[in-house]
Amino acid sequence: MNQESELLDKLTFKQNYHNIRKTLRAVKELDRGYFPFQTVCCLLQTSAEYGALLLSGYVVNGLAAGADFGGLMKAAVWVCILLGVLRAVVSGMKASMQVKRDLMFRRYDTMQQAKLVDLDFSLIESPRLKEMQERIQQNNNWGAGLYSVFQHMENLTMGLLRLLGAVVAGSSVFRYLGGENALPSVCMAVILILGLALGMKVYFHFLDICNYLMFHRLTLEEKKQFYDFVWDFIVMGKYQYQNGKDVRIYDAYGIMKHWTADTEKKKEWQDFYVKKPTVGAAGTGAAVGAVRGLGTAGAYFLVVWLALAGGIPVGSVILFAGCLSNLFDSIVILLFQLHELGITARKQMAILELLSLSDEMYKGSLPMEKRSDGQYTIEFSNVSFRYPGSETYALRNFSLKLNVGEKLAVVGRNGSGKTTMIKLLCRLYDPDEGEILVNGVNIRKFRREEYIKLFSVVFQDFHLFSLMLAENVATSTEYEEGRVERCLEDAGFGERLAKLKRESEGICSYLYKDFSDSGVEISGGEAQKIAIARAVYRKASFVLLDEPTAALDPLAEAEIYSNFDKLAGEKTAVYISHRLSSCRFCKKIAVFDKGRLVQIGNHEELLEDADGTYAKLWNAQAQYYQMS
Amino acid sequence: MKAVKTAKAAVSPYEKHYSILQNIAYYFRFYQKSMPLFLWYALVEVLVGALAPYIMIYLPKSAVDLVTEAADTKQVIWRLGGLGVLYLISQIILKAANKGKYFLYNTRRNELLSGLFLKSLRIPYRDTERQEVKELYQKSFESLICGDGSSLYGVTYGTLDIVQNILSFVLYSTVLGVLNPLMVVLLLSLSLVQYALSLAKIKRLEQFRASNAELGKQRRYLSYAAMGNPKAAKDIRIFGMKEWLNKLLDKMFKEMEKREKIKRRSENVYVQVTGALSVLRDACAYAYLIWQVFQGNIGAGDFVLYFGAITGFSGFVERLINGVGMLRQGSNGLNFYRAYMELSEEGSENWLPENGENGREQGKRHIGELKQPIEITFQDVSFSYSDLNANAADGHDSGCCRGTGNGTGSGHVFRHFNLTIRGGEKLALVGMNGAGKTTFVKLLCGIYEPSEGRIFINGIDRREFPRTEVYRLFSSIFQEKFLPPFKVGESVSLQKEWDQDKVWKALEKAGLKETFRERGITPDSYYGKAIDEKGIELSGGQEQRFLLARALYKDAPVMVLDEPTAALDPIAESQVYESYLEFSRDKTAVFISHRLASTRFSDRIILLEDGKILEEGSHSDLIARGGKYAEMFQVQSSYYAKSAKEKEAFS
Repeated sequence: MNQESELLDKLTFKQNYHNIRKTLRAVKELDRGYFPFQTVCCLLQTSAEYGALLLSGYVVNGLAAGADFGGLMKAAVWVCILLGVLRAVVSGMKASMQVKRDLMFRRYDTMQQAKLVDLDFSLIESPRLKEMQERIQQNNNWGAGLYSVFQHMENLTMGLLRLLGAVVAGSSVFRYLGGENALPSVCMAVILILGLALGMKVYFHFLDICNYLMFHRLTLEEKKQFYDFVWDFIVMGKYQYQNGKDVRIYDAYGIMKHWTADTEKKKEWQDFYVKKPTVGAAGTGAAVGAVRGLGTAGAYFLVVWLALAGGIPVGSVILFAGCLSNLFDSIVILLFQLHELGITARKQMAILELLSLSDEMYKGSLPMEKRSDGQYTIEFSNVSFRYPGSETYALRNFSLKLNVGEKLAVVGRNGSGKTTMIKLLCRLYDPDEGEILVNGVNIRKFRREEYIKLFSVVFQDFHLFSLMLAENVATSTEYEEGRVERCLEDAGFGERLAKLKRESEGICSYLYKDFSDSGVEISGGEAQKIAIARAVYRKASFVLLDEPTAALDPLAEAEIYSNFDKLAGEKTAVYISHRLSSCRFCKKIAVFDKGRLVQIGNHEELLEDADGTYAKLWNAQAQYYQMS
Repeated sequence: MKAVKTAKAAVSPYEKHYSILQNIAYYFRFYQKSMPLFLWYALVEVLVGALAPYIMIYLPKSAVDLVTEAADTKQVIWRLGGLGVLYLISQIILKAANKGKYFLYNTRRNELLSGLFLKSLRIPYRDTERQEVKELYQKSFESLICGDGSSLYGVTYGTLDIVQNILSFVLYSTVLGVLNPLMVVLLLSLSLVQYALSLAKIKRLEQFRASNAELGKQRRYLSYAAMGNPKAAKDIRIFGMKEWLNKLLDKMFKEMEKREKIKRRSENVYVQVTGALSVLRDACAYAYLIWQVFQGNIGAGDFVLYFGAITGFSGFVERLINGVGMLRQGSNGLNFYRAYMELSEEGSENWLPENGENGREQGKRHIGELKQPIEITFQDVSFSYSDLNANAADGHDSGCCRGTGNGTGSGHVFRHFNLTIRGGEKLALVGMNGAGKTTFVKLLCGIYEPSEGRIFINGIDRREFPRTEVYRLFSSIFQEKFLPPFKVGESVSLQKEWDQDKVWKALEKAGLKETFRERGITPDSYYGKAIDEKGIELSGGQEQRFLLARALYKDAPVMVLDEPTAALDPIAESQVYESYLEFSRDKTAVFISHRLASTRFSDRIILLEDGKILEEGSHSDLIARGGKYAEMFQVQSSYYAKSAKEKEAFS
C-alpha cells in the first residue's frame, strides 16, 4: 500500500515525459509495427467519423439550397458505401490490434519472469528484488497494466486526429468568423477557452483531492490490517495447501478469517478504505464530465449565436458545431489521457527497472583451459563473505586447499557456512575479501560460463523441471539418447526407466503434469536419482554434493552414496552432509563453525580432540547408534 | 441477452455450468449483500448512460431548428440552453457514477479472493491435495486476480453495458418509430442479424481460446514455475539451462503466434459480412430520409435528428456485442469460482449413515469424556488415494500424491491394516520412502478417513466424534512448516484469543524464551517481514522449536511428529529429540523419522513397508531379529558403531 501512496507524489513534467518515453520504447521493442498500425487504424476511424459529419452537412446544405433529389441520393449512397467499407476495415484492423496486444502482453509478462535467469544470483534472494517484485504486483492491482498503455495511446491518437480533423473539416466555416462576426466570435472563443482552462484547472485540483482520498497514506497499523497479509500470503503464494493440515489440527480457521475477511468487513475499514475513496473517485469523474459537457454545450451555443448573427449556412451549423465540440472534446481528452498515461507509465517503471537490471558480476575474460585429465587444484585464500544485507559473516578468513582427485567432506552445524563455500566456488557469489584460485589463477578472471562448466553440483534443494526427462538430464533441447539412458541407469533410475518405456514415452516422457497433461508423476527418491543423472551427464571435473540425501531413507541413502563413488570416480569431489557417517570415507574432513574452518583432518585425527566441534557433532549422532 | 445454456446436471463436482443468467444473478446478489452502493451507482449510470446519447442527438436538431426559424435570443436560451444544461448534468452524473462504480468494484475482488482462500481451509484436506481441486483453485484465483480481466468485471460490467445499450436502442427506436415504424423493424432485424453473426464469432473465438489452453499453461509454467522460480535459480545457473529454457519459450511463442494468426483469419468472414450489413442499413436509412425531406414530410432539423439516430445504432449494437463477449468470458471464470465455492466442506461428509437422521450427522461425542492417556486402534483399515478420487470425481486420474511423498500409483497405500497405539506409548514409525508413513500420520490425526475399516479412540469409533473434536486430540508437527506472518502469540496459539503467559510458557519450554528475551521479541512482535518490517526471523533450528512451542501451547493428549529433523545438524537434532521426549512423557506420542536414532526413545518401533507392518518390537528385539530394521540400522550405524567401540577402548 505504501507504494500506491508513493504514486501520489507529484512528478515534474520532465519525469513524466521520461517515464512515458521509456514505456513507449518498451512497447516498441515488443512489436515494432504496433504503433504505426494503430495510427493508421485511428486515422481511418477518424476519417469515417468526419465523413459522416460532412455527409450530414452536405445533405442539409443541399436540401436548403434545393439541390436535385437524384444527385443528392447518389452522393449519399456512395458516401455511405465508402464509410461502410472504412468501418469494416477499421473493425478488421482492430481485431488484428487485439491479437497484437494479447501477444505483447504475454511476452511482456513472460519477460518479467524470464528476466530472473539473467540476473546475478546474489540479486535473486535480495530484499531489493523482493521489494521490486512487490511494487510490480501492487502497481498492477489497479487498471490493466500494458493494456492501459495501449488504451491511453489509442485514445491519445484518436484525440489528436479528431483535433486535426476538426480543424480541416471545419476550415470551410472559419471564413464566416471574420467581418461583422469578428466580435462575437472572439468573445465566444475567449469565454470558451477561459471556461475550458478554468474547468481543467478545477479538474486537476479536484483530481488531487480525490486521489488523496482514494489512496491516502496508510499508517503502519492500518497496513498491518488485512492488506499485506492478503497480498503476501494469499496472492504472492506464501501459503501452501500443505499448511492446511496445521490449520485444521490447530483449529486456526478463526485466526485466518480474522486476518482476511473479518478485517475487510469491519466498519472502519469500509469507511476508510472503500466509502471515502469512492466519493473521491466519483468526484474526478464528475470533473471530467463537467468539462466535456461544458465544451459540447458551449460549442452549440457559439455556433447558433454566430448563425443567427448571420453568415453561417444552416447545413454548416451541424458541421461547425460538430467540429467545434470535437475540438474542445479532444483537447480535454488529450490532457486527460496524457495525465492518465503518465500515471500508467509510472506504474510500469518498476517493471522496466527490473527488465533493465543487468548482470553486474564480473564475468571474466580468460579462456578456461580445457583439461581432459581434470588436473585442477582449488585454493580458498583468506576468503570472507557476507550475504547482501546481512551483518554477520557467512564465511570468515577461510583458507583451504584441495588437490587433484581429493575427496573432501564438509561438516558443521546449520548456518556454519558450508553451502556458502559451494556457492562461492561456483561463482554464484563473489567473495568480499580474499580470493579463490584454480590452478593458481583467481576464478574471477576466467570466463564465467566456461568456468562454471567445471562443476557438477547436486544441491539438497535441487530443482527438476516439468519438461521432458531427457532434456532434464541433458539440460538442453539436444541430447544423446544413449548417454542419457546410461546416466539414468548409473544413477539407479533404471528400473523406473524400463517402466516408463513400457507405459509412457521412455526418456521423452514429461515429468509431472505442470507442462504437459500427459506427464508422469515421480517420487522424491526418483527425482533425486534424476538430479544425479543430470550431474553425471555433465562430465564435469569437480563434483559438489550439498546434502543430497537428507530426505531419503537409510537404504536409498546408501544406494546413492555408492553411486556417488561411481559418479565421482577419480574426480575432485566435495561432500556436505549432516550425517557424519557418510563423511567417513573421505580422507579429508573439514569442520566448519560459525563461518570459520575450525578443524581439518581425517576422522580419527579429528576425534582425538575430544572437545573439538567434530567430536561434539559426532557424539551427538553416534550416541544413538551405540548398541547397548 | 438470453441464457445460452441452462444449467445441466454437473458431471463432476469440479465443473459447474451455470447459465449466464444464473451467474449474473450470483454477482448482483453478491453486490447486494456486500456493497449495495455499487448497485446504486450502476443503476444511475445505466439510466443516465442510456439517456445521454438521446439528449445528444437533440442538440444538433435544436440548433438547426433555431437557425432555420431564425429564433430570438430568449428562445435560444430556453431551448438550446435547456438541452445544454441537461447534457452537462447528464455528463457529470454519468462520469461520476462510472468512476465511483469502478472503485467499488475493484475493492470487491478482495472479498471474493478472501472467500476463496477461506473456502480452501474448510474443504476436507484430502481434497486440497487433488490435482483437479488444485487446478480449480488456480483457475478461480486467476479469474479474480487480474483487475479488468476478472470474472467480476466481465459479468457485472458486461451485463450493465448490455442493459444500457438495449435501453439506448429502444430510445432511439422510439425516435425513428415516430417517423416510420417500418424503419424500426428494418433496423431491428438487421441489428439482430449482426448480433447473431457476432455471437457466432465470439463462440468461434472461445473455441480457439479453449484449444489454446494448453499453450497458455505451457507459457505460465515456463515463465513462472521455471525461469521465474527463485528455487530453480541455482540449478539454472550452474547447469547453464538458460539456453534450453529460452529455446522452449521461443518455440512456444512461435506456435502461439501461428495459432493467433489462424484465429484472426477466421474472424475476417464475420467482419466482412457485418460490414456489408451496416452499409445496407445506413444506405437504406439515408435514402429514405432524403426522400422524406423531398416529400416535405420532415424538415432539416428532423433530418439531422434521424440521421444522428441511425448513425448511433451501429454503435449500440457493437457495444452490446462487446458486452456479451465480456459477460460470457466472465461467466466462464465465475463457473470455476462457483464450482470451488460449492465443494463440500469438512463435516458434511456422510461418515455414519446409520447414525444420522439426515445422513449429515457426524456424531456428537466430545473428547472431554475420554480418559487420558489416549489409546488409538486401527482396525482393518484400508486406504487408497484412487478410491477417494473415484468417490468424489468421475474416476479418472489415479490418486495424485505429489507432495504427500507416497506415490504408489493407483494401488492401496494401506490394506487391512491393524495397529493399536496404547495409552501413553511412545511409538516410532520407520520405513523406506514411500512406505506410507506420512499417509499413516494423516489417517491418525483424522485428516484422512479410511476407505474401509475403522479407527477407534479409547475403544470408541472415531466417527462418533465430530471431526473438529478429533483434531483436538492432537498436537502435530508436520514436515511443511506453517509459519504465518501474524503476531508471535497468534502464530504460536493459532487462535484469535490467546494467553500471554501461556505463550511465554510454551516458548520457555521449547527453549526459545531466552533468545526472544535477548532479542527483545515479545508475543506481540510480528513473525516475518510481510506485515511488519521489524518482524522477527528465525533460523532452521529455532523454527523447529517455534513449532514445538505451538504443540506445547495446545497441550493435546497425543503428540505426533512427522520427520521434523531432516534438515537439522546433529546437535540441533539431538536437542530437538530430547525436548520432544521430555514433553511427551505423560502423553501418547508417535514419531516418524528416517533417522533411526529417534527410535531409541520409543517403547515400540514399527517398520512399515508398502503399507504393511513388516517388523515391530523394541529396538533390541528388532536388532536381535536381524531383519530389515537391523539391516537399515546397520547401514546407518556401521560407522558410528565402530567409533563407539573405539570410545570404549579409550575409556
